[in-house]
Amino acid sequence: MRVVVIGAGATGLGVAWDLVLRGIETTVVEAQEIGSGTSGRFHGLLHSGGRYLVTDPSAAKECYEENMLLREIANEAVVATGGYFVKKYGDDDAFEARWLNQAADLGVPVHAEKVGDLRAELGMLTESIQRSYWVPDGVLEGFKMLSMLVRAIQSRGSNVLEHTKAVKLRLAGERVNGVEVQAPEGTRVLDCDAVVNTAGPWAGLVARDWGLDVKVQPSYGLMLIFANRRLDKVVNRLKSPSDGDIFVPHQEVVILGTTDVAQPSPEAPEPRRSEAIRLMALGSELIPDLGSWRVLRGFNGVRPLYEPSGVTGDSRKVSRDFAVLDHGERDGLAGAFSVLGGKWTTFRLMGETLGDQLVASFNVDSPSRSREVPIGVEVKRPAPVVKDDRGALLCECEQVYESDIKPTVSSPMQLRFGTWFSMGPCQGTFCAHRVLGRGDEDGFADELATLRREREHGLTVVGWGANARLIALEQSISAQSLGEER
Amino acid sequence: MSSKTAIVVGRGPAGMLSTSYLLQRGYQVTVLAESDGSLGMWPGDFSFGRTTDAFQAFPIELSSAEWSQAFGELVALYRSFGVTLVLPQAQDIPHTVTAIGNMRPTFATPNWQYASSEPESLVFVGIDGLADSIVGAQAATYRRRSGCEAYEVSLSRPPGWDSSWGTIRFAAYLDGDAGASWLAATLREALRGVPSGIPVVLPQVIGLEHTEKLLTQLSEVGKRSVSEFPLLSPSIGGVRVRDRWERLLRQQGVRFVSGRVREVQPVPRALLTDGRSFEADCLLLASGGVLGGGMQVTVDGAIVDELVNREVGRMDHLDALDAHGHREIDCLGGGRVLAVGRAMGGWNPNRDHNGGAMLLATVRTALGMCEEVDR
Amino acid sequence: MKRFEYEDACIKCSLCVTACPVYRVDQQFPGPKALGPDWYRHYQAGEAKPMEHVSDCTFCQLCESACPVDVPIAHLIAVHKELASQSPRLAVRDYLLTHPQWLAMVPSLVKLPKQLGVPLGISSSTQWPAPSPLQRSRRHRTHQRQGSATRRIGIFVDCFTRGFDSETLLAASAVLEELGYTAVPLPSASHCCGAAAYASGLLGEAERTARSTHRAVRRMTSGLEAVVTLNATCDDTLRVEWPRYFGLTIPVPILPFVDFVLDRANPGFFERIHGLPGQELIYTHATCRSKVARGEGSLFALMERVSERPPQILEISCCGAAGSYAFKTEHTKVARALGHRAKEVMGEPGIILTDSGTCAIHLQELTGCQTIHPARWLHGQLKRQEVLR
Repeated sequence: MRVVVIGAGATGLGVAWDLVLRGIETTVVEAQEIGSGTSGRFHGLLHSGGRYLVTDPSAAKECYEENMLLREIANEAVVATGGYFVKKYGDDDAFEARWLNQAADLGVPVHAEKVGDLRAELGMLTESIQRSYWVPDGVLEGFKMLSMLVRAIQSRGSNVLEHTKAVKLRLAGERVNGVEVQAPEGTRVLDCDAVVNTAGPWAGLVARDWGLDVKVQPSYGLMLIFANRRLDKVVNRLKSPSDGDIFVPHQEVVILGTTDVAQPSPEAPEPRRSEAIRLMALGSELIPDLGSWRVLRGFNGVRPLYEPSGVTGDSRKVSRDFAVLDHGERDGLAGAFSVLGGKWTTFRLMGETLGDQLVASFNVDSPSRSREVPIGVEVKRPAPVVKDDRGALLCECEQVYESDIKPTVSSPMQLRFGTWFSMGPCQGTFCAHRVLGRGDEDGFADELATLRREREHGLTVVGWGANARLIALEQSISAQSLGEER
Repeated sequence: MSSKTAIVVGRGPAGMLSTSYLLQRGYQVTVLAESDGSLGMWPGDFSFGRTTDAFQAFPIELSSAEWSQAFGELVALYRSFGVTLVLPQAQDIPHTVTAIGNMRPTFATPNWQYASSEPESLVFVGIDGLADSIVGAQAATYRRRSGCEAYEVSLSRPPGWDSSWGTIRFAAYLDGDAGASWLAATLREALRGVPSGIPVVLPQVIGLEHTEKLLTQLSEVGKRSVSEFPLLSPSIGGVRVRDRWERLLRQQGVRFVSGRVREVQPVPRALLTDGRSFEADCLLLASGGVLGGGMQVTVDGAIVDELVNREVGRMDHLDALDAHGHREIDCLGGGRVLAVGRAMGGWNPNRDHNGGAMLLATVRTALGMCEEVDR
Repeated sequence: MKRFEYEDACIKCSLCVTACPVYRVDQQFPGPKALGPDWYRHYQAGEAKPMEHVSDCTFCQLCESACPVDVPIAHLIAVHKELASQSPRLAVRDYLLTHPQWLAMVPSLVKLPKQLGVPLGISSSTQWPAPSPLQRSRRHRTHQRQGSATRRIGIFVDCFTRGFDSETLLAASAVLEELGYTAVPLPSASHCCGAAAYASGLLGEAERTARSTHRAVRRMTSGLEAVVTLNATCDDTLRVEWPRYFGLTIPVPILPFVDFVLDRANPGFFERIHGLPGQELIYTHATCRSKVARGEGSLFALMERVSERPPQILEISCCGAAGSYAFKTEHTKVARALGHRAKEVMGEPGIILTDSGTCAIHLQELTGCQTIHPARWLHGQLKRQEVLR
């Protein structure tokens, strides 16, 4: 059996991994780059389920179970930081009571933590915390997990194709038997027995191309990245999930999430300063001194929420749970499936559920193995033995050396997948021309300009304090030392 | 001790210029500054205007005779601490080449820096191991922009190099005897086969103290002009100017007080956060724009000068910023407290290459007003 | 220990690197940006591996004074130093060197640097000070003098002065008395501000020392107009670091001796000294910590007012002494390279004035010129003037 999966985000790769383990030959096609949609733009939280205990119990239970499972099978991409839910004086007591009841009912472990102990550990938190609870929240390193999945899928003989867009289904009667794809090298048809739409926020558009009506509700959320990891536990506000109520430590940074605004388009909009200011104000309710924390940039991610009954306009109320549609049953298009909604944390379960339905529809008995097979270890780039073989230090923030960027690579996105250059506190002010100038000489100026524009957008929305001075420095360097006209 | 006293807040370009000019006018000067100022962040040349409008007055009108006099004074001042400034002739605006191979208009330029009013063929020198050195891309850009030939040569890493070497390390190394002879020998070897006579441009790391001597020697040995192009911050050119200028001011008896000014009062008086207070006959506020720290941008986007407790503009959109925040020059004290340089409200240095003009114009005007008040 | 502020504000401008004296002379030293904010960011993210050469930082803090965005660079480097494991033998030495007053009590110890040097890692080429502890009789004398003036100020007797430089304490007391003040030495027993421990990355020891000294000093401040410090490093530590990092405050103003004299002396005092014949050329050396804490030019301004010949500024950055830094074997080379610049910039021989005992020893050795605290020079002139009169 052969399956084509559309979209190489967490959902698509989770689906492909589950199918590959069942012995099904799978090809993942991705119109852009791996993780360039929602999966590369999230806050990094590995949910304990705590966030959805009251509002979305089934999502909560799934999150908790998958959280525990991922620690076993993909430990390298999980950091078990633990997290706290904190209730401030004045926050709803009834919500807290229901939250505790639900935790007990659903089996999500929650331990009361003395507020004094909490503040001794996390002294930056507000003094007006009334009660606090520990939960098994963690951090999911998205890019690491994606690269582990890609490697695992490829090591079992299946494929992940970037810059390859699915344009059309080829049918044999009412059954899918191929997908026509457009790639840089031309158009071709991938033969298959089934196709799975895992295009995230674009899933509604993919289904429309198939002539189907699927109610995807894209909703964007702004997140702010703080330059240093000043906090090393996840911190949630204990109340109904809302804007600016969660801090996640992620590698060297801390991410504050998020807003939730329904929009028709699957594309992430430009972040807006007024929203960043609002998020800062909300975040300050938990960390009063937040204004003195350096924000690196703001970015928007788009949730691919699924609302079976149609678009509601209030995206906070749309379930975080996922759904698998068998379009053969639903719409008479046999062999076509969609996986919709869901969380990063539950990507594996989404794969398993899809896999079960898919094999059942073909009357094949092939149980899922993704629960027990480890996803595998990411292979690290070997570090040169002799220090100075690394060449000059190009990116001081993220320690990228000349040797890290050789051989010459073709696109900045690819570069960034391997290195973190331009993602650190200088936001490309110093490293951008050094790194790109060592790449493709012809496209140098264009790439540099594109990267600077992109960085500037992210910086400008958080252009206050030291960041305003970084923007001034960046522009001064651009104008004076680099002689770049705007 | 009957001489007039002055306080200068800030030790960036505007503060240093104010201090030197106040000394020339017989003031005893105390400089209050929290940090070293922004001189080390820019290449040390004065830029005036994006286009051929070299004499644009911003935000103060000076006549062209006044400009000429101002430039003359500036050249003399730089000479007093050992830097030769080159001014353009007539209406020709010279261009320097940049680290990425663009051409940038430059005005009053230290003579270590390459500048030419006509594009010409150049030899670009890169140094392996210097992060800012991207000679291939630089030469390619220069060829496209100038339509002239650009030769590329690369120097191998100097002995003792390690991957932590930045521009300052290269400059300090080349200041020493070992570095100087390494450079002379390596460059001579690298230029073999490059047609003679074509000017050579090197990254701006040719020493901190012995730059002029080194460049002269290299020019004489290679029988061609050898000069530098500026790199990123920290800018070695700016550090050279800063170090030499401050040394002169110290020897002239200027007191550099470290500390953060909390408030400026009309008396004139400056209060520091640690409780110290300073009074003088006049006070020049050279605390800079956003880069220099004179203006703070708050989370909600207000651009604030906390020293005089004023909001000078809003940062709603970057492009609109340069137009915001000009304030009256005699902001306090009936002309005894005067804002100069970017403290006049220019948000960001050199967006329009006019930082030099703003500096000269505001400092000269402020000094004129000081003397007016004294009379 | 309080949390840092602005540890994440670094905009990578590298002005700190341009200000770092060690970076210019030591080709292996990664510089303040790499050792401070860059390293600290990764440390906060759980990657605690210390870098090579971190202990080569002199803790002069010129990097912090260069920083436009208030990053506590040197103090982040101190955290870094704390993590860099020191061999047990060097740890013993570092602990000893942070308590020079103990060394002074056992003069035989410091007479044996060559013998001690090898096992303990103490430099055998750096000149050791001769102990001159405050003698009981002398202490008695300073106390007896009380009452001749009505205005009382405290003199902070730092560990080095107490152990090795009682001359300076006596000279400073005498000068202050001349200005109409009774100088009360404090604290009364052996104490230290903790700066030496902080500089070596012994942060816990620095805080313990500071707290104990703070208790001793606070008890004695009632009725004092100010506390005068003799050493710029102690001044910076007491005035800036104690409140900022340990939350310790002193209820009276803290002033360096030079600034105090410059502010409080009347013109008559300056005139009395000015114009004494036969003065040699005076060089002033503002120590790094005094530049950082209060700025440059006070010492020069004072000397301009009292010296017949115009004084000159010793145009060097950090001299390399840096408290106990130059006494450590592994730092000798850098310390001497830094101090050597003094010899290069001096046109003719003269006397060097500086308000740090260890800078004085170091500069005197490397330049061959007498180097003393300005209080001793002033006191000497006052005595000469009495003789001449």
